[in-house]
Amino acid sequence: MEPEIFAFKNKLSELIPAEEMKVWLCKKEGKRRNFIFKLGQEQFSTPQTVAENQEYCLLAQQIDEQLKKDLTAIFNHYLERRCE
Amino acid sequence: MPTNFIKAEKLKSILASAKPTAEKIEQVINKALNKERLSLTETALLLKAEKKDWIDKIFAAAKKLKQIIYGDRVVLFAPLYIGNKCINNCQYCGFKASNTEVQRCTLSDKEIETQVKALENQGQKRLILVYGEHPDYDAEFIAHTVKLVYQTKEELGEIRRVNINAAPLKVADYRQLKEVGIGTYQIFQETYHPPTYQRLHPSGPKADFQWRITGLDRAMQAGLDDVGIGALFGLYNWKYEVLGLLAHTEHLEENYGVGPHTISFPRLNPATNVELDEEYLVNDEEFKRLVAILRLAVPYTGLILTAREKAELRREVMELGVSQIDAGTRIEMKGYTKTETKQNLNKEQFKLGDTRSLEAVIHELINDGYLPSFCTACYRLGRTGEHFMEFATPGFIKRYCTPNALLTFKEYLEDYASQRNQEIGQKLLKQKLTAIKKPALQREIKKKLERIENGARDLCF
Repeated sequence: MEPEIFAFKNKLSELIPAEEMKVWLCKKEGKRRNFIFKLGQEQFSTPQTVAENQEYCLLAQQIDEQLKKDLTAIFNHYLERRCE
Repeated sequence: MPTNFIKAEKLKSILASAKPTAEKIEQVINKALNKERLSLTETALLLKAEKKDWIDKIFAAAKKLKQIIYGDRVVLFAPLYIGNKCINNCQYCGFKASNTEVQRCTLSDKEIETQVKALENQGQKRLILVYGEHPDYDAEFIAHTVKLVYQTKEELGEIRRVNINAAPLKVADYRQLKEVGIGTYQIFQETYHPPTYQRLHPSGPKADFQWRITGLDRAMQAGLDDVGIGALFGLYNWKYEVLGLLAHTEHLEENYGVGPHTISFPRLNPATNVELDEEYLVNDEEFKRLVAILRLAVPYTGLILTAREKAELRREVMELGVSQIDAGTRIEMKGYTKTETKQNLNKEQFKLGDTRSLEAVIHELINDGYLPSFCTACYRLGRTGEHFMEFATPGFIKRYCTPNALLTFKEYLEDYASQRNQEIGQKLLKQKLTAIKKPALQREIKKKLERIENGARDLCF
């Protein structure tokens, strides 16, 4: 895993309670979203896209609006330069 | 990473030493019904089960397991032949290099667009692109055609998943294909018996058994963790080939943490300038057995039944464990824009058994209570490879696959279905929706179905 993704995962892990929600990062390759890592457990609910840029997208289940904003900010902070 | 993982003598010895008893068969079946993958030795016991009541038990267990894991869904797709130039000489194939009677052709960009639009107009959402092995069909060319297919849209139609059936590549080449977002990369070993392989593949790159058998290892090394394996049944002893497929599965699981996404098991069919050696041809009864045993051996691996088989047999085999079928299949180059359904073997790789239209196949599926699915959600939501293994539970099927099948089938009914399929399809949708036990999920699906009725597309769970 590349350093910024590793750091991004560490930062997210401070915010995601393992049993109540799930987030996972994917690399965008055409129509495919290739799984990179996940935090939390499968919630068996409809996934939503929290944040994305040209290269990556962050998907989640069972997250509220405030957390969505926080995750988006962290995503932009760590992965923003990747799409430059 | 071992590269010589197919050991013919070992597989033969496992088969020879398997001595099934009623008790042993019961144990193996129970393990499979617990949704655990079977070992080579356990699978050999099922393969050697010759008594009628043992075979009946295997069939009954396969049907039960299919119901538990896959329910009534059947995923539909279509093959699209991009080019039939080939430098191999597979003795059983109509496209072999030495066959000068076959008309060679590579679709131009314009022709690909035309074929894809014709497929979209039928309602297809998933394609497998098929290429011969030829220097013209390198990774760059394949990537170009994949991009073209994804870009081609006809009104509401779009192809959402492109799988590939092509020659083994180098790691760097697979990376190129990964970047354009392919679905599954499929390589059939044809036969897992090296001496037979050598005899049937006398020249061309395919003559190298090791290069081909390690083709999907290189795909995995390139990060493509969505791969399909297959054997062409009829080239060698069918029981041995089932063990070969399982040994390949074990190898991928042990080395990359994820087995094949799908297994295909086409049977040898007539083709132009091909003389079939009948020694190992698989009859219908044996074919049903091999499908049922594969279902039990690899509960969570998709099983693909192709249109090589006749419609009546497909219908019978489907309930034994098949999860995907092709429908409306044309394997003639530019075949999707031709009105003539009679096959011309000078233009095709082999003889098809089921040449019905997608509409006719769907009609039969609905009447038989199956739920046709065009779902492509998993690979577009990162539920693939290692991550996918987390979902390999019946709960996943109930929570995601069935709802997604309902949504994609609804889209089909709205946009492409004939009047007769509209009528019975809407009834089927209602039945399947009512059968969903969780009220909250049922409500969620209902809302999405209404959104589709109001024009929304590509919704998923």
